[in-house]
Amino acid sequence: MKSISKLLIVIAAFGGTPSMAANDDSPFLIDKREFKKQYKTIALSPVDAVAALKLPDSVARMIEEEVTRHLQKRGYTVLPSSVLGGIRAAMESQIGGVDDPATGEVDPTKYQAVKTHAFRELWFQHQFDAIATIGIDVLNTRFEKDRAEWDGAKQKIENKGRNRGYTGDIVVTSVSIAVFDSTNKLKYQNYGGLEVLQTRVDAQLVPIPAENFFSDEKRVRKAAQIAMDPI
Amino acid sequence: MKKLTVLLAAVFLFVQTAQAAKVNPAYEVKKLPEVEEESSLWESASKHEMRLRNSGTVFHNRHVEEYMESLAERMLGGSLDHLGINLDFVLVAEPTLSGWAYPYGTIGIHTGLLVRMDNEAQFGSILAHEISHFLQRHTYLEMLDGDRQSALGKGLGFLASVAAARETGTFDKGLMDFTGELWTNLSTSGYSKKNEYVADEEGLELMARAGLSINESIPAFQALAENEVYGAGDPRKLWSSHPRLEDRIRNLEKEIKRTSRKKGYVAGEVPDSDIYYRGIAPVFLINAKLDINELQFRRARESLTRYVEVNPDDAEAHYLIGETYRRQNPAGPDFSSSLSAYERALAVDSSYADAHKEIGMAYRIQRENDKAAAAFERYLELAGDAPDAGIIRGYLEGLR
Repeated sequence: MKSISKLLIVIAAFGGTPSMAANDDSPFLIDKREFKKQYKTIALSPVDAVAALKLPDSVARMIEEEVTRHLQKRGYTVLPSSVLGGIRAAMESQIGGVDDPATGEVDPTKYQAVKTHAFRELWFQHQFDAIATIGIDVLNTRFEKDRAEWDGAKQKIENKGRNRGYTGDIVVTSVSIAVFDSTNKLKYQNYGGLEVLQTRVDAQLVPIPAENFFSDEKRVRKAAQIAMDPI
Repeated sequence: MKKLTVLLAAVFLFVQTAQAAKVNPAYEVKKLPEVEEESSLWESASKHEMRLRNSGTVFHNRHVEEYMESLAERMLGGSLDHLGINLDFVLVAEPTLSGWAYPYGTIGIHTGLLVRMDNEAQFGSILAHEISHFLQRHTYLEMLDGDRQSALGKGLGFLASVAAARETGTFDKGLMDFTGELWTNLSTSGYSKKNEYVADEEGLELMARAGLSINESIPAFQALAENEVYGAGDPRKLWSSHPRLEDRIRNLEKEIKRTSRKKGYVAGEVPDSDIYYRGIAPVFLINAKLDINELQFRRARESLTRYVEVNPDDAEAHYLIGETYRRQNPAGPDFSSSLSAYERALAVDSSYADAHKEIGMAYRIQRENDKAAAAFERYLELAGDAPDAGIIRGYLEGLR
């Protein structure tokens, strides 16, 4: 129940977020040929998702595998997220953790210090050209006749009850990929539709339990592929 | 001939509308607001201003406000004394270029606009334009002319709302909404073309009265196009990229010619940039930090360079110049520009800890370990409790 409440908060917070990819002509913010010319080594940051999604490590690894495979296939050298993760962990330890001992909450100044130094250290050690951040976005999308279509994905909405063919807005997830250059300028951003987070019971949309998210491996891998495809 | 006919038709239309509205300029009426309708407009606008002032984006600096007040005073003389109205200013820390007028004379200005102006005359042209909107009571006129749905331009509260949203993380539609739909319409659509042109014309007269060169209004308005750099897809982009800006500049050029042929016209001066830079100096520093956050390193550096021209002893400004070089080219291999700037910061204030740290970081990348270690040691002496002190200690151990 607690996780459903959290999810509802997430849904409420992200429900209005539009799918940016749908409106963009190109995910590249630089000429594609220039992108390929300028960026040879791409570092990955760990897959990021809001806690309420309860992203399993195995799914995070699966998404990173797809991203890595795609980049390598296109001739890029990839630094796995474990490299950055290792640097971050070491730095957190050097400053005694990023939590405020008094409150137990994350101390934003310590967090920022680790984040900033970790990126700089990653470059110092590996001289990467760009960094790709991978995330799971929660957003609202339109569904028609119990079918949702967003960010290159399609999914039938499961329904219980007699009536069929509803139309409305529904909460879904997408894999997001953003590539930044060494000055932190965004150079590529794209999304791959992952899955619907609600089912329909008559006219009501009901959240799917978080435990059931990411259960379709094909959908997960496909979402990462869609997000990466233009590169 | 066809153009002349169109122009005459436009002038006729303007006169008709203005007469229909029967709204006299502020300096021709005995009191303001004149009627209850206008009072409620002022009240609503005032609420908007208060919300903006409480949004955390407003930059308070008496020195800058006094400078703007003195410039406005030169334009207005005592023409509003009988109304008991003193112009006020609200400076919004926002790197885009925008200005707007509340119906009771408070002028809103983004720091980004102030720093892009090269001299007092250029800033004066924008200020005069906004003051003219107030003098001509354009907000009230727009309210009376409620049927009009201008599709031109962008300004007023919308940009103020964007500024507030940057700080608060939420776009407060309430900031755009008063007296029914009016604020929203003005915010998203700007004033009517007619009222903008009236403000252009009167603005030039105010500039001339203040002894400022009216020709400088052209580069000032051209600078508004620089909003483009703040991102594709940003709604603020519309303010600059809309063809209307080009129309406005063309109109200004015509008005400049017309004004300069008027009897008694005396060509104003292009004041030294130095006077202006001194007047708004603190804004350069504030806006440079905003530009750095927007990854606009060159623009930030330009502002900081102007700032240190009049404040050479500000260590933070020199340090930030170094940061613009470093962040623009973090991989080097040439760190000479950033290092010189950090050294200048330390020449002003040898206890400026962050400059020591960045010097250490630059030398570490260049494998000049002794110099890096010395700089890190000094940093830790000065800022041993800094959140990243443990990380720096880690670097130091690695260097030994």
